[in-house]
Amino acid sequence: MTAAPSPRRVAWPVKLFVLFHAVAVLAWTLPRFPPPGSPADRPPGGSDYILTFNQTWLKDSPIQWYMLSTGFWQYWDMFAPNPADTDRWCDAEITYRDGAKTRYTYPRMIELSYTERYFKERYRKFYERAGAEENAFLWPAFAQRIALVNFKNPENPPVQVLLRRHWRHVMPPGRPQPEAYDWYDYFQYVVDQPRLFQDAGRG
Amino acid sequence: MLKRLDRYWFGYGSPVSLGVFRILMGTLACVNLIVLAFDFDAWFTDKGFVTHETAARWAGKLNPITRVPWGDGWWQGNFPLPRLNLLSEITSTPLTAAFFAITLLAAILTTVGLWTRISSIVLAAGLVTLHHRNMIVLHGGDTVLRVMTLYLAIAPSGAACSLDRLIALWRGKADAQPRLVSMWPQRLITYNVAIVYFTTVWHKWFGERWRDGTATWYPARLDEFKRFPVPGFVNEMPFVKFATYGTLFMELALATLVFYKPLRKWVLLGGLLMHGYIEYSMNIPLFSFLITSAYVCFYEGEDVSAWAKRLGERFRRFRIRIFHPRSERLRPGPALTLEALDPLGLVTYEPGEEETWSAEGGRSAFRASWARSLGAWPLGLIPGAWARLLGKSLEPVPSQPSRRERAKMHS
Repeated sequence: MTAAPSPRRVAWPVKLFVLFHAVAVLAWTLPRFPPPGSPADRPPGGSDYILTFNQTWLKDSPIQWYMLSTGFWQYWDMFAPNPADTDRWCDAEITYRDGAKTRYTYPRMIELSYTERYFKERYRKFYERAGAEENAFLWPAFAQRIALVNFKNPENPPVQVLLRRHWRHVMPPGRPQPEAYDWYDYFQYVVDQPRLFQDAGRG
Repeated sequence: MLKRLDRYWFGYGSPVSLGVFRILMGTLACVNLIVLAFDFDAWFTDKGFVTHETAARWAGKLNPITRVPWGDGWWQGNFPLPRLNLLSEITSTPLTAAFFAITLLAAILTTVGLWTRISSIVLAAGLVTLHHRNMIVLHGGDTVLRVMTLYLAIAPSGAACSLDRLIALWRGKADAQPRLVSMWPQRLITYNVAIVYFTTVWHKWFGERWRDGTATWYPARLDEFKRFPVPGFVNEMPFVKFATYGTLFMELALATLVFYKPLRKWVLLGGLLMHGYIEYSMNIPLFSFLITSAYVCFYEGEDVSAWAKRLGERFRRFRIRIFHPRSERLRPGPALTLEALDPLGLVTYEPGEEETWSAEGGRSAFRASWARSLGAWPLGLIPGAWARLLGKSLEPVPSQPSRRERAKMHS
């Protein structure tokens, strides 16, 4: 504690704000109990009581309005409680008006150069979320954008997009690691033609 | 104890650490926005992957249930929260692009510390808005950036290492030493960094893979995370166990031991090594740079200034004397500005014997002084700017009255 002696005093409202903010940040960032992936009726023990108290009295209180509205919201569960163990990527089958089909590969980090993957990492992050079943509401806009990216000829626009998910689980140490990816067609989308032409500037 | 805490949080001190932090965070904000700009169309327009409608649904999904004690029980509700989003009603791509450009401009101004109070507020509001416009593509680095720029906006971050201060010095409106500022914004930054590490360890401790020492085995085998190649043994047992428990230990130390001064240097060095490895081996753009930039705030501004002087002492063989034209002298304000631009203290300006600028050893005065003045390096981008600045720092020496004039004055 090496701060210089105060030539001036900080006003009490500022001190109260700092105290409130410090409590709000801590309350908001502490993990929820029970943690994701564990049974909902898991009994708390030891430090879990702190988390249940925090959740009941602080985290779910109007404190969260402050955190969410201002942009101070934050949650530090990177690689937690367990790191991801599934490699996922996506491609799509595009069907054009004349019946022709092409395959579009959504950017895969491993196939990009070192520089490109730094610039395109958000594509991975987006698909990590958009590929999940619980976020199916994102799929139509996702497929529509893929149609736009593949729109070259106004005479022969994409009319359908079929999204395909590819995945591979990483096995624990000591077990053989699978080389091949499994795949599954998970969403078929009929392209919104007026919007496609409008977005392409040909509406 | 309370008094010590009060002095620690609300005492006054040098703003130099905050100034250095502002430069680092502002630079990284520029890089972050430039990287985003390459895919602006995909992420911030209605013809991209995330339309306004889907962004709103995503934000709504994140609206948590609010509970408050009410009578004998609880009142709870789930309703849309107002979020700072200046683009919430704007679907026009040119307007969104203009907003993006203004945010980038604010990031540049914040970096150089020009109109810092306003530019840092615009930067924070811009980043919060962009993040609320599309929350689906955000990663940990974005969150660090947003939170830290909010702290910059409420901190006196332009009080040191800024163009604002240099201009005030030049005009003779600032003292040689930066004014002392209240430390609470800097303390909040360090507190928040410690919270990042502390809560991440708590989150991880719930995971059996962290407990059994196999956690780092998995991300190393995810193709989508890979960056530069690493030696094979690093991702095999027993090194995986060492890396897993080492990460937990290091993160806990960065949340706790870092506040104990004798260990601070070693803990932060460990943090730099850990994040350096993450940056090298995993494709998580800017995260390591952003979080380690905040490490400077664990040091008092006085410590950072003293460190710069000690570094200057190590480089004393590069010290140089610069001579200005004999018929002119340095004005007081510009003299302080030149001193502030040289944090290592390598350049001394003295009256010369010639009619032009010169340097000892026959070196070029402009080149030698610019190269040694760290704060002047950005001026190197503008040809001739440093020479013009040196020229404008001079004023003519008032000529001595002649004998006849003195006699006239006496009479």
